[in-house]
Amino acid sequence: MTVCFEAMVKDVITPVLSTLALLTLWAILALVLHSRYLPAPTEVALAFVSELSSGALLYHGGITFLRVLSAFLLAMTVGTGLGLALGRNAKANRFFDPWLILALNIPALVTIVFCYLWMGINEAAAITAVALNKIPNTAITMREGARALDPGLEDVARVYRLTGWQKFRQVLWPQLEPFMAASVRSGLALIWKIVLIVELIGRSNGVGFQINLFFGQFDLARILVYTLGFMAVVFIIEALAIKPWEKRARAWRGE
Amino acid sequence: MEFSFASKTFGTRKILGPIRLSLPKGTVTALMGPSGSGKTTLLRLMAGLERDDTGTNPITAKIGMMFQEPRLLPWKTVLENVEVAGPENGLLESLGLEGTANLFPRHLSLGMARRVAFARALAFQPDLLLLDEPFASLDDALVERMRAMILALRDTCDIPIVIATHNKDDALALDAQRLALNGSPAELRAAESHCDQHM
Repeated sequence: MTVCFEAMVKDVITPVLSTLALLTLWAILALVLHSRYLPAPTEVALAFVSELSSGALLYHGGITFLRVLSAFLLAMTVGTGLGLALGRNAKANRFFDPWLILALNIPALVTIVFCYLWMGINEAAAITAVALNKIPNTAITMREGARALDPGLEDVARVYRLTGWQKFRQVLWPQLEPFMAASVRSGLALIWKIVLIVELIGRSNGVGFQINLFFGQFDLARILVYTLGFMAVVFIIEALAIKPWEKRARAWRGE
Repeated sequence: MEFSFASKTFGTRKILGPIRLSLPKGTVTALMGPSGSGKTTLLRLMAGLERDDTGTNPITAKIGMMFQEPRLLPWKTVLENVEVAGPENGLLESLGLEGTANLFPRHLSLGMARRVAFARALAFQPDLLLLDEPFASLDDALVERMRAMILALRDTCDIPIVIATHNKDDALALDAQRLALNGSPAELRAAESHCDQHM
């Protein structure tokens, strides 16, 4: 019982108390400052109900979610393939490393502008622009994963004649999984922020578009509704998918 | 079982000269030589993990290898590690590893991990068993136990067994044919008539 209670305090009670403390601090500041630049939590809650009941929040949030998902899958697929190829081939890595460094340091805004100019202001350009911003990060993380693979364990796979799939599933994937989890987590955090910029510049729907709209109307409460709403979605994905996956992947370490 | 390799060079350093050797069934052969003499390289050639300088390695036999380090997959339990190579068939119990099937390698001592690696090599049901320094870092009691297991294996499974060691006592205790790797590049010298070395 004591162990169970301690785990509940660690996993549930502490984060809830922390969130309540932040909300209280926000409410006090809003009350003291009494400024249109800092809407109170209650004002934001009312705006949330309004946007939810009108269907706008779900519509724009859903559009943004689909863009995030598409760009995420594209970036993870290309970035993982590229990273593993570079990590396993020293010559290719030497040749392409400057390209990777260059790509990593191109500002997100520049990539977005160029994609819109080259491909037109459309959905494909928006998703490509977001994916291009994430691919170098994924490639670098997965390249390190490929470099960290233990050649001794690959010898074991060869001696015991594991098939290609068995070798990947039983020997390589468990070593790559922590790198993949890190890449997924940072990817999700980065991609949804870039999607907002893409929407703000060149789309007529989505959370980024709405934030721009309410910026023009100086409606900070609704800006916070859309921002916090999407942050909540990312938080839920993290809590329900990424953390359990990481926990399972690390079980053998006793963590 | 016959092996024939051209020389083996790493970078600019030729480690091994041309080598041919024959390993009769039901015998233990000890590859002797100081550290760095090429014992592990020769075992790796025999296991099909390296190619000789001609780029060929026509190994087709099932070869079980116990590496110098246990090389267990840390995310698999003891039982799963053994079953990577083949069915466990009571091997853990026969190697004194009862009750360890569901443990992860991090829970094992070095001696236990080596025995699991040995069990894995046996689970493969190999045509030839290669053991690279199988007794290194083990205490005397465990060395005796492992030697007894190897002798039992030699007598019951009728397969050739090769161990790489720098310790003459290992060869004597296993009643092994002794082959010595000496020189640079290393040449294989043997007292036994069935093994010869070509330059």
